[in-house]
Amino acid sequence: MSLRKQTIIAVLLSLAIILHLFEALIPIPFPIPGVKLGLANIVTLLALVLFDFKTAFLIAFLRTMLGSLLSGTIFNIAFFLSFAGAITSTCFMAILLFLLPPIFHHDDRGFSLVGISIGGAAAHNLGQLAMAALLIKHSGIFYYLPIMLLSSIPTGFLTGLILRELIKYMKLSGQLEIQQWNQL
Amino acid sequence: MNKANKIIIGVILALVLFSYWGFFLAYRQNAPLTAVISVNGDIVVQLKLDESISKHFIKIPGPLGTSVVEVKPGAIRMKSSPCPEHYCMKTGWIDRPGQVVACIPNRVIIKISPDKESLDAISH
Repeated sequence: MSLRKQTIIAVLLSLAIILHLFEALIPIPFPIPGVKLGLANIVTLLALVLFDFKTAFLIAFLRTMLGSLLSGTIFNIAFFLSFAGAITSTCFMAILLFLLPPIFHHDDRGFSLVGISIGGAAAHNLGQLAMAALLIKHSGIFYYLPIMLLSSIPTGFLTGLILRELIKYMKLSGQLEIQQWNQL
Repeated sequence: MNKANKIIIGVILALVLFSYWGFFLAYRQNAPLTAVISVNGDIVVQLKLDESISKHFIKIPGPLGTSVVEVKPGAIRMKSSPCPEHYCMKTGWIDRPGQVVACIPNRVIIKISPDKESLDAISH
């Protein structure tokens, strides 16, 4: 791993941690615990686009660890929920991004960043609920499933739009040539 | 919005409907409720509020006189009571685990006992 790649990963990681902490400060307008925007997911998906699954996984893993450490929730139930969610959504988005394009990829018929982001948000909620069911040992928690899945569509859509604009900006400012990034 | 994105949103919406429907079915047929009537802390009557019982009255003697409890499938209430304020009668029908009708003057407590599975709240 080159020094340049290490530096970029460190920048992405700190960005993810800041978004993770920032998100905890935003009040949610409806009283459903667990529903949130998933801003930190933007960075995970960006890392998937710029680098590969391994890097994105590393960033998601370290982000939940360090973000929870800084917000004081490390190793309590919220930490395990966000940890399980981050891992599940990273894996699922990687599948959508890397495995499915060969099947769907005629002209622009593959998943767009927004679609992948929505899928990732849904996977995050699923992983989170599975972990919650494991911790609480009561399947009643799956009552949440319809609400959580439904909420993943607008939240995933929003984070996907933010990422799309970000990548558009990076392209315009000449900071994004994906082939070049992969060779770092 | 291309085809693949529509597919992923469609799959999520289908999962939402499917899970909603599944839980609706799974949690609809509840276990029969059990009502416990006690006087002065001693259990005097214990009965299941399932479909096999018909609407009937149970007379419960207490220190002030006789309280009359009305029972029907799935619910129970205090029909009449010798107490001065009739708060117990004003409580009306109770039909969920954990609900209570209390008549303090006549020492009569009607309670629907909670099933072991259900939790009131979880806090961390």
